[in-house]
Amino acid sequence: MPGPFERIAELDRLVHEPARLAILTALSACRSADFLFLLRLTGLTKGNLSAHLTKLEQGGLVAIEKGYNGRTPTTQVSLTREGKSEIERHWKALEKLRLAALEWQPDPR
Amino acid sequence: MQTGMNQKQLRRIESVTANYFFWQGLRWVPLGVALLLAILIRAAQPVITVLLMAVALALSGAAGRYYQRTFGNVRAIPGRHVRRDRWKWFFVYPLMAASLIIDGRMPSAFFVTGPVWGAAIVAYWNSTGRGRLHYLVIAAIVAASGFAPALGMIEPGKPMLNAFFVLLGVVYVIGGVLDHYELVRILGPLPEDHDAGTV
Repeated sequence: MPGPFERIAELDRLVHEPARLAILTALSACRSADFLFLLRLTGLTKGNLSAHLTKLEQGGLVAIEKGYNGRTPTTQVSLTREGKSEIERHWKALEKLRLAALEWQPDPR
Repeated sequence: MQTGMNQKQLRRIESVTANYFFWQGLRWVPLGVALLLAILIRAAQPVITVLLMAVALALSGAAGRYYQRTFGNVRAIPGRHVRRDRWKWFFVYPLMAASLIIDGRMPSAFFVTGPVWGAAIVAYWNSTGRGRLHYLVIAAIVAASGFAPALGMIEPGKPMLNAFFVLLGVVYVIGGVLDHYELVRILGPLPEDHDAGTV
């Protein structure tokens, strides 16, 4: 059976990458957030945030909706149903790993 | 983006996003100024108080638009804060109102409103994502005001109530400004020229 440190490698990289985990965590706390908010919150450049959002959209975890607020173009991002269950599953997996790491004893052999 | 995300950072991201409205401190500053003005100029005529509140609400709305323009927009999850709202409307607010009535009708050396409202501020801090530690200091000051009549600093009854509302106005202004700085610190500057409308 793999130890807690080996199991880290099994985490979904699409979700576990720090920038994407930050985006998904923010989106899990709201119905939707716009591009500007995510830009300020994550500290990513516009290009990086766009690339991460595209990956998450392609993975079916977020939905991107473009529209207008008056004359200003807006981009609203929200979690899909799959995104919600994926981030919840990821949190549970992380918590399990944390507990396993706390209990872990090095192999005496 | 940093190389890693620890749980504390992620919790902070979650709480700021979930409570974004409450962290928009400049929204509360005009309300505090209006309260201060209403007490200090002794706005005996209700129309002046109503006018002050109308101006304060308009300025508060303008502050909200500033946040949307500068920091972006978040739509809250409907019903996410049902538990908080229930506690607020059925327990905290009635208790706050009752303490004011007690101090208004039965003035004594101990100003009950101080500790009750101090506890309400701690509850507000706890239920809106914790982060803003200045609310703990503010709550302690508000709670300590309960001892002001006993220490002979002010007469119980109406003078104490007036002084308390002045303190409350100051709390709104200072708390609001500190909320704003905390939000600016967390959300940080834009890393490059931005066009918020594109992905």
